[in-house]
Amino acid sequence: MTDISTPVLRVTDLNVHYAVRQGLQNRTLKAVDGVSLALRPGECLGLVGESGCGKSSLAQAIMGIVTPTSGRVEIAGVTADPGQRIGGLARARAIQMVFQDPYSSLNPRMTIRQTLSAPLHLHKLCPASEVERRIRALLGRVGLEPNAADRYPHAFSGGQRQRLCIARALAVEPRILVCDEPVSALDVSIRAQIINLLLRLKDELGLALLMISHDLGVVEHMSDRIAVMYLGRFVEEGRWDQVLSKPAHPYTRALLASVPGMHKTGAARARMTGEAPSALRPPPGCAFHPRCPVAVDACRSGAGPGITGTAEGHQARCHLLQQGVTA
Amino acid sequence: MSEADMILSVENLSVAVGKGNGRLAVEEVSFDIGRGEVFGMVGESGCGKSLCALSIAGLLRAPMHVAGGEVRFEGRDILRLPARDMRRLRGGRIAMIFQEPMTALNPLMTVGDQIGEMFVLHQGLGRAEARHRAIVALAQVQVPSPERRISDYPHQLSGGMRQRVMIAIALACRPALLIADEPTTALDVTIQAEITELILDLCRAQGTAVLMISHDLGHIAEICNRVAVMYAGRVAEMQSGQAVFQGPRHPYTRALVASLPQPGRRLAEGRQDLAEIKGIVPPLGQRPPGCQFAPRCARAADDCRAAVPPFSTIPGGGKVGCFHHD
Repeated sequence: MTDISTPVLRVTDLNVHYAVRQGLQNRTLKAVDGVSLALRPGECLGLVGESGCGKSSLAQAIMGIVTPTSGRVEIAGVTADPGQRIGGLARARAIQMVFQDPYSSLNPRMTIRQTLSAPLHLHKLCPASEVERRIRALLGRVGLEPNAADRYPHAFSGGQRQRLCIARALAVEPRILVCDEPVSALDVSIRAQIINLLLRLKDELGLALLMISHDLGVVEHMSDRIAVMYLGRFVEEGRWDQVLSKPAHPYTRALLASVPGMHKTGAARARMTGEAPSALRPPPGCAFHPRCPVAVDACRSGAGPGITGTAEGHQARCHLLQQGVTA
Repeated sequence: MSEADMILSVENLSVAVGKGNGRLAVEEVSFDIGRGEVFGMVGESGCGKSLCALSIAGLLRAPMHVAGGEVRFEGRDILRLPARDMRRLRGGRIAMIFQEPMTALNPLMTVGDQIGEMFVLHQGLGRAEARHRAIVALAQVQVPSPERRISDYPHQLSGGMRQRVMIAIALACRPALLIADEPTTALDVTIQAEITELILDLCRAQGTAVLMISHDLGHIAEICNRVAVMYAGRVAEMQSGQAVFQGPRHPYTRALVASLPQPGRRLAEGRQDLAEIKGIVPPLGQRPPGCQFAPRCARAADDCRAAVPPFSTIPGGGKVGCFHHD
């Protein structure tokens, strides 16, 4: 029995910085800037933000695909040293990823049997005699027929391919599944199938889901907690219903206001103007201030705002909250 | 709607892929758009919505071609117009905005020249005057410091700014009809609302009718007067924007609405299981006889598999193509 109160993924003060040369100048791009999070078994953390805000960099750093500049990633109780790409195989057993485009993430030259048995062999998970049974079980888990094993990826539709990607991720019986926009590339009438499947796996297997999406409808439907990211930082994090019905950060409010239907459910109409600044030249002070409808002088200079708790497990980074002003 | 109020009327439009009547990607699509109306066309990828748009704009390229039907714009049959006349119409009276502004803009021309070109080609203005008008057009789409920006090349602009330039080009000659094919799909959520509002505001001010194409039913339903829902090359139903979302009549639209994780729904009603639509959209060449949706439809009976259902009129306006509709 897994202990559901102990986080299976704990990220502490994670930074992913890239050195970028612009002409004669060397600049630092802070793709992920001091992010901390905890994810429990059976929990879904929805991660939202505009493109370029660092969602995917965060996912890649957690997966060990990119090396974090500093910070700690603890997966199933095992800590990764800062600046090191830790424990390839052990890490891969605990955490797996599902990508956006199922057309480019399956090897077209491998049968489904080869694709699904590869992780079983690599991690020496079962004797050869067991492999076939495991493959059937995996296909059944994601709602595909056993005869799918003999076919190649091209024989499957987009939705079926995404099921196969999920089956491959499940082969090692991971504790955490990182999903980077798993339904964005699929037909609208297919998305519900994949969303329902992921939620079922979360409940039945106690999988922890890190769900990255720009679609607030999907995030609302799936998440237990929601984190809002802006220019590399978490600007707000909390229980899904609190973040959506009582958004504390002006950016979250603006994000909700931009979705048709959402603003009718409590989030005040808060307009945001302009576009996200480049992460190469973040504005001084609070990175959101140039677009913020309620920014005051304190937001425009100095260090960025610290974290303020607004309710149990609900926190945001905003000067106005620190000053006790309800914006 | 009387003839005079109509700006565009599409009747039984079919588009084929390949030689002769080949395989029909769009089959007998009919709709009309009134002056200044915002008309939505919604459907999944491959349903033929973009092909309809390209046919109207006269931009279909081989192996795609119009296999039948009629498109009347301001009373003229434009499918049979000589290429020269069509070129004059396109950009002047009919304008188009595409999904990806980077590939639709010329990377070797400044945005000022690309906007100004419209005035030179369609209104015969001189270069200086065209440049002046381009600045005004850029200001209209709310690009900051337009005097400086007109000397920029597309790569110097963000995605949102590029789409604003596209809008400036499209609306430069005050067209009677703007075809907007997924104009905000490539943009960030926060920019999407701004761009949509900009398009609608400018068109309302100029009296331009809009054919808005999208895969996002919720979005389309909110902004359009009337909406046609497409499935596998055919119109499934056509209703007012509100009705199509709140009271869909066709089993496909009903299933689609029930399958969407709608923003605000879980907050209001708690988590409901999303209804799944079984099966997949039939690929071109494997479309069934009879109703295209029959293989995935819970209500399908023998008559659905035998013949294409005719349209029935919906009380309160609209039509639905289903034998067993609500």
